[in-house]
Parts: sequence; structure tokens; C-alpha cells
Amino acid sequence: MAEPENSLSGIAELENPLSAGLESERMVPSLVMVIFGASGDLAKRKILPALESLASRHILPHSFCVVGVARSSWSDEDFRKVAIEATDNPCPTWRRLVENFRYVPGDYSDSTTFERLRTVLEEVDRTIGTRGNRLYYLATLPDLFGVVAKALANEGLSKPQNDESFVRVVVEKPYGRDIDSARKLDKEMHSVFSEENIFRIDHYMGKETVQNVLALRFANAIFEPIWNRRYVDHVQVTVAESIGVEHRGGFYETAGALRDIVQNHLMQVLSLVLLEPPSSVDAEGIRNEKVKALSAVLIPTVDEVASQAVRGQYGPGWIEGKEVAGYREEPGVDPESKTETYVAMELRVDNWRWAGVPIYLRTGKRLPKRATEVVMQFQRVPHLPFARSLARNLEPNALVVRVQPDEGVTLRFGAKIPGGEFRLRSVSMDFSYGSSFLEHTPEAYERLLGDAMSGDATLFIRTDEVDRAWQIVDPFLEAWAEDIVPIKPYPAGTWGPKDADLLLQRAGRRWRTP
Amino acid sequence: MSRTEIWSVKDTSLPEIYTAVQNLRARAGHDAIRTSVMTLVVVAANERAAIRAKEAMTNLGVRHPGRTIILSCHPKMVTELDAEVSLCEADSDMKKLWWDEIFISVGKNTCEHIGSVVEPLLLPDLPIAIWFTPIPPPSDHPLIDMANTVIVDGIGHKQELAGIEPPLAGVVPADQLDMLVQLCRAKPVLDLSWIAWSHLRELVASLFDPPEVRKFVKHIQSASVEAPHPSALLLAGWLWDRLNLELNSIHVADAPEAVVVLESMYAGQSAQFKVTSDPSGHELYGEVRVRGQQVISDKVYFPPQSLSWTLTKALSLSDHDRIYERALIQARDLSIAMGRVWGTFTGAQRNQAAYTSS
Repeated sequence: MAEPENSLSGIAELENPLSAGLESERMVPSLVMVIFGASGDLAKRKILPALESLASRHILPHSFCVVGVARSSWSDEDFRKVAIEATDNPCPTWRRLVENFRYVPGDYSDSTTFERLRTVLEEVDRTIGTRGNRLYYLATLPDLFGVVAKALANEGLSKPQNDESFVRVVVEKPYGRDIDSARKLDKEMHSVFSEENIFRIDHYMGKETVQNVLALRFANAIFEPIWNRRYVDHVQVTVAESIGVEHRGGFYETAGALRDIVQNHLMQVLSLVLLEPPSSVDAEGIRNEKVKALSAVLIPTVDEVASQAVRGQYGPGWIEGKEVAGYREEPGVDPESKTETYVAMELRVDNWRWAGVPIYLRTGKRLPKRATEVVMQFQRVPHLPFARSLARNLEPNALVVRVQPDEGVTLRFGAKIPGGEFRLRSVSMDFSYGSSFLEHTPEAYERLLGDAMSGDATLFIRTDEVDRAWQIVDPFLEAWAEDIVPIKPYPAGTWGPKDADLLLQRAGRRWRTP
Repeated sequence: MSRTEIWSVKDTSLPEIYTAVQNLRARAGHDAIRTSVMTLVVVAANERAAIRAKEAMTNLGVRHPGRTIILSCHPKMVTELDAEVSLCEADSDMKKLWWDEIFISVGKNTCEHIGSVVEPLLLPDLPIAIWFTPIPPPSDHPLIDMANTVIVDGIGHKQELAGIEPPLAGVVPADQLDMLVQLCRAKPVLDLSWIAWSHLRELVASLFDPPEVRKFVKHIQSASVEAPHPSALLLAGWLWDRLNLELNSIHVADAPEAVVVLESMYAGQSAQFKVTSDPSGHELYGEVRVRGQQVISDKVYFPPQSLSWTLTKALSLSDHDRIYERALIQARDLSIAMGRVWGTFTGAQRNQAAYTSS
């Protein structure tokens, strides 16, 4: 291929009239994606398969390259092999692109790693025509985010080369481990990249069903009018995992369920449930409203946390017909560990729409099944004109948004049981993604990577969202540290400690079983 | 996928068919969810087309219309209404999905009132796609009004590639193209042959992706399209429209394999962009030659396109495809400009019918 000339700048952005109406019309600009932590699990399991899928849909441009950076002493060929083997049946376009992939082995604290990276990037720009556009993906341990950012700046790799090129950075969670460390990290990142070029990824935001909360609320006349304290009794958000900590015991010991799930995934989903109608579904419109919603969440004092939260840790038990070890027996876990694998909490929201409506959040590992769902539990009817004995099985109406698996929406309502008596029970009206659409459903990472390449930040987390989420979670962390909330064991394969049930039972409520 | 329940009877009635569907559903149990994507109505012009459609449905997988009604008219049939109802089931993501398929053969009298057969069997509130195979309908066909989208086999494609029927013998393409143009004005039309050519169109477009050659796309001076008759016209119409070419710079020829060549000249530098399909039909080669520079080449492999693949793509679309519609109009105009020679040629004559307007 001929070397691009200087005059090429801008020409690649000329419209290609032949792409109109084709999948390639949505093609992202020419760029190099640099994956820090390229030999890690995330790259193999999520990032590279997502890129392959984008390639198969003609969304990656001709001038596209991935440069892997990691400590493992791989060669370009080793990295290419991993990229090809990341999916079972790589498409031809991916195979062609992978031929140009490069790998830079090295330590992140060693400046020569970044010198070599710069040389490779310049070479890629020259040979492939990626025009100085960069997307850095920080898939490393969180402690290294600041180190990598600083090293990129030192090597002159953090700023665009000209007005037409871009440099963006995607940051994986966890973004800090408490509010202080998150703010410190933010300071480090902002000293190198401007906020508009930092894309904090939370893969939950890439899920179709999470985005569908917005469609459900704002594209339908029937839900928004009842989406408030006048009709809603309480809200439940559940993120249940059947897996344990697997091989992440060491990491999990430093995180726990609060940091791993509540501060990010649960807060993100919750903000979409609580937010006010945005004026437009664009990056600033949505994110402004999310921040406002989280800002209205009351932050409990450390003492209040004791009555508003339950923390648990799984013991041995049975899941899906298999006996599993308890958390403290997992590899890399302290046998005396007090790290929580389960959290349930009650939050309150101090605004016109949600005042007085309890928000119950729970997440746990080694629960009976994998399920993520949002439940809007509506108030009971003011008067039931049927004999109480005939309506024993009648529950209040509920709208259930199933995020995973079996993505969809269920409306629970009362119906008469066929027969002579006027007996009632709750039934479901079901919408299932799998049975209602023929369109390709992109994986969360696929969607988010495409957006980051195109510069669309709508589904990424802004700095003030992260900050507010940490503010909400911080008193709980403090209460954990001070042991104000004792850790309760629960057998693997159950829905968590009994205290979590009591959290709702004291107000006459109960958790919905997903 | 499995067809778990089948009910079949000759000389039946709509109420009997409807009852049969209900009974099969009742027996299916409560653990299965009915797909609720759409109702697909297939209007098959003959028995062969009906069988082909049925086979294509079998291979659609779990992403399937909630109900498919396959109709075929048999003027010589002794009875007026024969039917077979199947309940189909497949596992998807740990749950069972089911849908029903209704095959109806109608006699001459009923055929003239086909809407009265279809209407009662439509699933409520779901979009309706109507696939006319292999003959596209006139825009005033009685079923068009009830359709949200109309699927047609199109104006020809390699049969072994897409399983799509060749155009009708003796029909002048300009007329056939005009009929499709009129149909597009009435409803969104999903043309299976156009969809089947999407790999080739993607590759042609992608030849201009490298930044160093993008500048040539606005300066195409001639286009040559060789493809099986009369898809070449549609592809040429597409290029004519998208590249704003002069009519006399377009060359169209009937050929067994597709070859698209675009010649460009920019700032005194000439470039050729070429896409060739190989005889197996599963590979496309792309090539860019810029005078004085190294050749850029690309190769695209794609799995054998089945009718099911093309149909799945079509069923996931629901809007007017403006690019297709404009290509169709240009193809019609191109055909008219060519003096309507195509439809009247046969065999060797047709192969010699390479045309350059001048």
C-alpha cells in the first residue's frame, strides 16, 4: 500500500456515496486502538470479540489497527493469534485487519515501553493511514490508570496531532475504591485528558434492556404518568450472580460487592429509573439528568446505614446441582475474610417525584440464579370489592424490567381465574426481546466500543456521576470498616442472609424472586 | 427447530383452520412463548415456489415470524381450500419459543378473493410482511393494502447463490422494473436479490475506504457492470445514481459472474476499482490500481447465501430503502434507454448484448 501523503488529512472523511444504506455507512473513523492490558482476560473475553463483531458488520474502517500493550513478553504474532482465537469463527474482514495488529511488551512504569509504543503508532499511521487518531483502552489494574495516563503524556501521546485528529481514553471500572481515591484518579486523568475525551465504561449501560428503560418510560404515554410516588409503592433493583469469585479471589478481597457492583452497575441502572425526562437523548441531556437523579438520593449517616443495609458472605452450598465452596475457601481469599459478597440496602430519594418511596437494592454472588431486574412495585388498590379469601393470590401490580437473562418486560396484573367463583390471582403480560425482534442485538462491549470510536459519550459515565455514586456508597464503606453492619453468612444457592428479607418485611414488603 | 404438531385436511374452511390452530396451541403447553415479531404471508405463484418458501422457513432458526401463512393458487384444484397447520418449536436462551405455519392451497374461485382468506388469520397488532414469490405483484394487488412491507424475489440473481427465481421469461425488464418502481410508491419493498448483492455492494464501497484513494470516489468517469441478467441493470442503476454518472459512461452486460469496474481520474492521476466474483459465488475480489502505485487488493469470503439468510435479512427491515428505490428507477431508465433489448434476446444473443449507450 502506498504511503499516505500529508495532503490526505481530511480526505478520508470525505463522504463515500456508495456506503449509503449499507452497514458500512455507520463506519467509525480511521484509528488505532491501543489496549493496555492486552494479554489479560478482559481483552480476550470481551474487547477483542467485540471488535471482531464490529468488523463483521463492516463498522470498522479499512484503516484500523489494534496495538496491544502488556507485561507479557509476546510478539506481534502471539497477539495476532490471540485476536484470531478470540472468537470461534472470525470473519474474513477481521482476519485481514488482524494481520496488521502490533504488540508492545513492557512495564508501564518503564518509559521505554511508551517510547516503543510511540514508534509503533507512528509506523501504523504511516503504513495503515490511521491519521493520528487514537483510542486508548485502559484494561489494566485500576492502580495503573494514572501511571499509564502520565506516561502517555510524557511521551507526547495524549494530545491530538492536529485539529482533525482525536485522542480518547476508555477507562474500565472500578474507578477508584472510595471517594478520595476516585477524586485523586480523576485529578490524574484530567491532568492529561480533558473530560470530553475520557470514556468511563460501565458495560451495563451498553445493554439493550438498560437502554430500554428510557424507551419504556419516555416513548410510552401510559408509564410515565404513574412513574412516581403517587402510584409506586417501592422500587427493587436486583443484580444476582450464581457464580462465585472464580479466579478473582485476590481482586475481590480488595473490592467486595459494594465496590464491584453497587457503586457502578446498580447506581447506573438506578439513575435511569429515577431520572426526569431529558430534553434530548444525547450525551449531555441524559447525563445531566442522571446526575440530578443521583444527587437527590439521600446519603445516610454511618449510623443510619446499620438499619438500612445488610451485608453477607456466602458459605458452602449447592448451586445448579453442584456442591460449591464457601467464599472463605476460595483461592486467594483470606480464611477470616470480612469481604461482603452480598449487599442489600434501602435508599430514599429526596425529590418531588420519589419522596417517601423506598428504593431497595441488592446484589450477591452464589445466589440461586443469574438475574438482573428492576421492579416497580405499584401500590395496592384502595379498595378490593371481592371477598378477601378469593383474592389471596393477588399481588399488587408490578412492572418488571428483566435486564438479563431473558431480556424483556413483564407487567403483573390481577385476573379472574376461570370458574364459578370470582377468584383472582396475578398473571403476567410479557414482552420478550428474543421473541419480538429479528434485528441483531449487539453485545454491550460492541455497542460501547463503537460509540467510543465515534466519540458518542451518551452511554459513558461522566465524572460527576462517578463522584456522586461514591458519595452515596461511602457511608456504607465506612460502616463496613467500622463493623457497624456485621457480616452475615448465607449458604451458597440461597437468596442471601435472612436479614435482607427482614429489611423489607418490617415495612410489609418482600423481595420479588426473579 | 421442530414441527411438533401437524394438522392437515382437504376441502376445509377458515373456521376449521382457525380451530385447528387454537387446538394445537392448547396442546403445546404453557412453558413455550409465542414469537410475536410479525405475520408473514407468502403468496407462492406455484407449487415449487410454495415448497421452496416452506424450506426457507425451516431454516430461519428461532428468530421467526409468529405466524407464517403460505398460500398457493391452483386453478385446476378440485377442492377450493386445502390446509396444513404446523406448530413449530425451538429452544432459545433456555426458553421455548413457538410459532405456527399455515399452508393453504386455494382453488380458482377463492384465489380471486385471497384477501378474505388471509385477513382472519393475521395475528393482531403485529406487522405484516407479504412475500410474493417469484412474481412481484402489481401495486394494486388486493393484499398490498394490508401489508406493512412487501418482499419480492427481485429482478434476478444467481439461483445457486440465493435460491431466488430467475425473472419470468418473456417479460421485458423495463416493464418489470417499472412495476417494482410503482410498488415502492405504495409500500416499502424488500428485494431479495438486492439484499443478496449486499456483499458485493459493500466491497465496491469499501474499495474507497483507504484514505489515499477516497478522493477518487467523486471523480468516477466510467462504470462497467457485468452480472447475470438482469441484476446487472440494478447494480448499474445503483452506481449511476450514487456516483452521479453520465448515462453514456455506463456499460452493462449479461455475464455469469459479476464484475464491476470503476475508472476514475483525479488531478491527472488515473485509478481503477474492480470487484470480481469467483465462480463458486462465495468469494469476491476487490482491487484498486492507481497509476504508479502499488495495487491494493482485498478479498471477501462469505458463507453460501441461502434463501433463509436473505429472507432473515429482509424480515429484519421495515422501512423504505431509498437507495434501492433510486437504483430501481435508474435501472428502469437505463433499460428504457437500451431500447428494451434484453427481454427479447435469448441464449447466445443475450451474451452478446453488452451495451454501451452512445
